[in-house]
Amino acid sequence: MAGVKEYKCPSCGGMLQFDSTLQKMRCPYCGTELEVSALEEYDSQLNDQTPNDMTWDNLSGNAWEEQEAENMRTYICDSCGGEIMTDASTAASSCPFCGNPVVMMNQFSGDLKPDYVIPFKLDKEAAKTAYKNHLKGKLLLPKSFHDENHIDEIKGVYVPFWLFNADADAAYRYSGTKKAVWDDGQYIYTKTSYYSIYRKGSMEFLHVPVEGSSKMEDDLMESIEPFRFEDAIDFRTAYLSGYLADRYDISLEDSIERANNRIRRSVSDTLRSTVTGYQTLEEENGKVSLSNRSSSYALYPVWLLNTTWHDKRFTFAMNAQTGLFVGDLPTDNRKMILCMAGFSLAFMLIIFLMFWLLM
Amino acid sequence: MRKRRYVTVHNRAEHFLLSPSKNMMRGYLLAVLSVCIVMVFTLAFQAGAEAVFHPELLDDSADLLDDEQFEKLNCSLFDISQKYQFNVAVITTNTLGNYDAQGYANQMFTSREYGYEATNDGILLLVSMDQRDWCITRDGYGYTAFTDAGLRYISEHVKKKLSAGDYYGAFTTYAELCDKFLKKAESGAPYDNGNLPRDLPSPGAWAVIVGLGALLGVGVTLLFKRQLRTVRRNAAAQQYIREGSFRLSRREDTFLYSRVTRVKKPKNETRSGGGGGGSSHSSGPSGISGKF
Repeated sequence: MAGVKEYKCPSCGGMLQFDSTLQKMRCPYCGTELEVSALEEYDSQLNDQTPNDMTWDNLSGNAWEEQEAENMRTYICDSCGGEIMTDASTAASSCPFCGNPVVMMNQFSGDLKPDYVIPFKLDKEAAKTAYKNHLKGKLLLPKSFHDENHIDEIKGVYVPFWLFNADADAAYRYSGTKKAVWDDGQYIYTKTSYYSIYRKGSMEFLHVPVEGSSKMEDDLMESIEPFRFEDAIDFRTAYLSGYLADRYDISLEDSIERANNRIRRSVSDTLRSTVTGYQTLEEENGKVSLSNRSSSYALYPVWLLNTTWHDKRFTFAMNAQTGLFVGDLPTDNRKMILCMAGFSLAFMLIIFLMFWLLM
Repeated sequence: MRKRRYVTVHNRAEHFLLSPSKNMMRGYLLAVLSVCIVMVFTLAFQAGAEAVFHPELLDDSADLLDDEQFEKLNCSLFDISQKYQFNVAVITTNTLGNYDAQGYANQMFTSREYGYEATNDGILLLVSMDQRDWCITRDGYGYTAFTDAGLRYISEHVKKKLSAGDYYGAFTTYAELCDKFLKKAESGAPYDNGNLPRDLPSPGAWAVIVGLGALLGVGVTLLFKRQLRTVRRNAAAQQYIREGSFRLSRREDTFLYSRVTRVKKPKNETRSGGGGGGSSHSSGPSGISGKF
């Protein structure tokens, strides 16, 4: 059973949206504000009285090939009756005809339901401002990229993350050397002392995220970490309205290896930081064992921006909780060569003057 | 071994004195003219007797210069001496005899009567080939124009070229620097500690300036390029370690063994120079010496 979930304003009947500033549901037409919990209660009461007509499933006609059909979904907007078509893993969108935010409930039905959601804290304007700031102060950015500053697309997306909790016990062995140097007037002596170093310790990892959507680039998502889990709340569909929501398509099992790699690296770094006073240090072997393992499924808020420059697509992402903005930018090669020459000459002049004044 | 001397003014006077005696053998009609000539040359002789004495400014007994170099350097030394009324001399020798470099140079300075006219204002560069010794000594006004710091400065430049076997280069450098120092001394503020002439960087220093400058220039540019790359994987999970949860339960640093190696200590270079100094005009010539 698939359906479109919209929240109607109890006051005027307009479609409610989640306001990231107020952290409440708000009616854009009459300004009515509602707590999410109150709205859900109200909504469940309404549903008891007037169940939705979930007939869209029958409408996904024969025109699609079987494989295409698996990846596409069509919905009828409850507000204007328009037909919405998205791919299978999009869970929230807005009606292209009337603009009403919709949550496609079937994307979560019969599947794992997210445990947590961090609601959007920063709105679209904040994302646009962050993008403009991102372009500032970049000496080697092509001027035309800056001047032709058109954002092709900007969308708020709830990105699926698998979160891993575990207690890590680890033991690492290193070999290290210390050196002492002295001389007796005739010879310079170097004494190299060899040590075996052992460290054993434990630490707790909480909510290590691994992104669960193959459509998102992993490095882009890892670049906007961390998300502060303190703001996470139990998942409620109401928060999705007005934003896109991707469903996971990388399973929990397939995400474990990435989580393990990140945990192992942190354990190694932490234990190694306790080894000091050696001139050389090499890791001989290390063992990490995890206990109290648990995982959860969460949706984290991200603004995605796309722009095209010289037929090349550039994607930027902003953490909609913390405001961290990332995205690779093109390099102006001509500027780079000029910079190299200019800076080199400037440094040569400075060193020459220092030489001249000191000698 | 060559022995050359600069033709001094009183020699010239003697030559002129000999020639009019032949004319006196001519006829009576020339007698009046002869008397005049005798009178003129008598006056010239008297003037010659009072002419300025010029000691030999360049003595290349070690034969380090060819003829052309000798002439050029000799002229140069003479010109400087005339310009500043201060003797700038060079002596090369194969052996110092029983003297050390400073002693030999001082002895030469005195015995050859260096010093413009009746003064002892002069400076002498001595180079001895058998033990590769050098010495610069000065007297009189030399103490004013060439301070100890100034002598060290000149000797460093001269020694570099002597060590490289560029003797003509060493002597011309010496002459040029003497010219420069004397000119500065004329202004009333001779070169000394704190205001010595500055040299352009050596080829090695230029290489460091260019190399380091280019390295820093490229480094800074790459930092600006790095600004454009903000997307990178997060290899660790450091931010997700619960605060205060890290416990180090075992910490062992076990000493295994040690090894001692030794290398011979490089000998400190013995700095040449020094020897002398002094700043009293009455103490005779003194200066700085060393090996090249």
